[in-house]
Amino acid sequence: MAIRIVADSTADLDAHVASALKISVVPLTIEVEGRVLRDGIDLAPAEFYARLPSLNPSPKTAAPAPGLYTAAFDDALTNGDDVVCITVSSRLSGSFNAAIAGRERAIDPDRITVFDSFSATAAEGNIVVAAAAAALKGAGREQVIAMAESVRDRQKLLVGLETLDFLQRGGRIGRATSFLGGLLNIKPLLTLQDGVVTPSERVRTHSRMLERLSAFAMSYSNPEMVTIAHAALPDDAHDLERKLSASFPNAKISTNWIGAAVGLYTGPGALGIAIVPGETQ
Amino acid sequence: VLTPAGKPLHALDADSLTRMFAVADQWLGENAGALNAINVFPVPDGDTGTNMSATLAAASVAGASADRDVPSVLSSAATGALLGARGNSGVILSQIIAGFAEGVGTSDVDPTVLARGLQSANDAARRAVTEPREGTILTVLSDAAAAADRAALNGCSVAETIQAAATAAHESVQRTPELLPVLREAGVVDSGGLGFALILDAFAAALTGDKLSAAAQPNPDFGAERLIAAGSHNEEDLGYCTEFMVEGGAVTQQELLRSMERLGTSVLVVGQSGRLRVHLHTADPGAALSHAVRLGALSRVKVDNLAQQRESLLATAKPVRTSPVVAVATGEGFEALLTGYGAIVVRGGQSQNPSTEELISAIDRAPGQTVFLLPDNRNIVATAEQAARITARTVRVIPTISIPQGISALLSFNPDCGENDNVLAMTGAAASVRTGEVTRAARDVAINGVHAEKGQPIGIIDDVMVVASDCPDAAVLAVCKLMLESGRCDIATLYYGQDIEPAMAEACAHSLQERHEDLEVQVVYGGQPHYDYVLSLE
Repeated sequence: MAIRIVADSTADLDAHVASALKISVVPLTIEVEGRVLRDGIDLAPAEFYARLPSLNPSPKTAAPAPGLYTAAFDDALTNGDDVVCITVSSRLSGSFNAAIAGRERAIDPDRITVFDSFSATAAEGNIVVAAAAAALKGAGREQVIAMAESVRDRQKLLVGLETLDFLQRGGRIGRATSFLGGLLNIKPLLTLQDGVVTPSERVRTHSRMLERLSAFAMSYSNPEMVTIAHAALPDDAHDLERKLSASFPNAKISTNWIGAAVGLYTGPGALGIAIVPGETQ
Repeated sequence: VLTPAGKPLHALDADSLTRMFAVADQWLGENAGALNAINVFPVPDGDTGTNMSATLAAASVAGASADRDVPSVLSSAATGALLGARGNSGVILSQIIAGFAEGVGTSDVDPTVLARGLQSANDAARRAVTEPREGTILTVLSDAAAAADRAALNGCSVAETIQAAATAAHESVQRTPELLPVLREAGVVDSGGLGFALILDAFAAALTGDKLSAAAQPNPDFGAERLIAAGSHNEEDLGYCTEFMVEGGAVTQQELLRSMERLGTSVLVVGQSGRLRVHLHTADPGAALSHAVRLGALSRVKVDNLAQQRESLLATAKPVRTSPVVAVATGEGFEALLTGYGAIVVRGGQSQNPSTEELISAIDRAPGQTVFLLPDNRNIVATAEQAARITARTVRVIPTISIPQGISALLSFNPDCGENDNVLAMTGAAASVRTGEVTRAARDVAINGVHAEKGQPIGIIDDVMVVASDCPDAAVLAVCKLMLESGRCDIATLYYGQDIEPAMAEACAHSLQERHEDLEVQVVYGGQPHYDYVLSLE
């Protein structure tokens, strides 16, 4: 008996990584011009970001149906595995509640734990990957959850946006309303605190935003994991990855696209870093 | 109560159940937009109606294609809902349907079993939510289940039991703002709860054959429209929000709509001939009523003053965007910029210093514990410190000596940080900004070897004239060059004054950009008097 990790698509995992770590991914859906598409399956991020600014009405995300979670859970359970399911922050999406509801109707709810990541995209991805790696090494359900909690509680996230417009339009602006407004071309830097979007600082230009993100990562001396997530900024993301790889030879560093379900709220031109400091820091 | 076939209905059969889902699907679809408009909890993303409607449609389609017995229809509808559920409210609705199906099991759906099903739906929905909040669909469902239970005990028929649940649901919806503060602040009822009440209305109507336009108690179109009218939309609308019902006449919905559109704006006419509800904004409610009274009997007439309505809504809205920062500035562009980023602006600057009293009055209006005061001029720092000493509030003066410094300090204010962290961040941000000015010499003057004739463009850095030029653009370029001598910068912001045309400012910025390719040059309207340009480098 092993532990199967079930995650929702907002963890923005690379498909190869998800399959290598035997992670089952349950997609959120995005309604684009009347069509309901599955996040990470039916939508290529690059194309999505190119079209997003001109889509009217603006697309809407929806949590996965509980039945999708039940199916993913039952698949693992019938295979003899217990389940740890990790979802995007319950403060941002109904995905966590859908998983709780899906568990109710699974063949053995007691063998399933649903874990609220209180995060999204790269930060949720770090939790999922760390939990899945522990599960593959044979950790039990309690140990896998302890690993997920440890990463969730230690890691730091900073995301720079080109604009707050998309976040506001989607109703996820949280405490960052205080950053709204104004005539200067400001780039807001945000984090998630207790699963809610929280303002961190604002800078005047894109290059300042990149500098600030880099400085944020470099302020940690010996991180375990660093995940860079970007919305249509592949070059900036790779430059940053090269720089961080040189500084942190022992860290597990990866770069992913921010998928459409989260990208709908960040808008194109966003770049985030989720960093897991070493245990001793 | 008779079924369409004429038999008394003691228990639901598969066909009436299928019809109930179909009618509810249609009714929810028609009301989805109104439900979206009042969706504020848990996230105000305006999709509750769409998601509930999609979920119910999935249940309806699956139920219709099941075997023609009640347990099959119910369990297929439940599976359909669980697989088709969208969004938070859709997930809860799918739990309600699945819980109902489980509660009913294979029993005949008589009033007692119906009540039991609703109770089971209530349990399932509450289990599915980790932190059940009252004032939501959960409360409405509990109240509806309790009413169904009472109705069944009192010997009501199936249809009467559903009707009782629907009535209780609507009453419960009206109470949601008392239970959930976010609804009260937004001036709406809970959209998921209202959606559930509409489903019960539709269920009842499917059994009685009643028309739904009349069965729905508070028409959500009106609630949503009122909200929209009182909010940011239709701000140009003036006069009176006028609502009434026209009963018994022959006028059609389309005809009445057309005539009302000639009399006002934001016109809505819903319902069917013989029972039409009207909503419009008009300067003359009497004209609309006089017109309508010739078409049928008027009832439920309601007239509200729009301006008053808007004011009361604004009075309950939180000033989320005002920061505890007071800044001194002059020039409409600068003032708009600072206000837009949340500061309270006190007008003043060079040669028009604000009084201590003016500063204190602004400090008193600022929200929060500690107020951060930005004098934005060397000559106002002392007044600011005086105001900070006198006022009863805690004030930290950030000694900014130019408006661009004040803007940078304001931008680095973070409401989530403590007082000392903010002082550090704001002081640091201000210190990283250098400011130069371009104005005209007030008289013939010679300072530090710079000669200027009266009216000639001159450049000033740190209150000292550093250059005299033939045109303002040349002065800007010279000032920029001198400022860059004291260290590298990457952003230049050119704030142009009230006497400068935007095209002139753009041209000036263009030549600045040509000389300094590594600077990001931005042109912003400052609107300041006396100074053609204020240039900031950071």
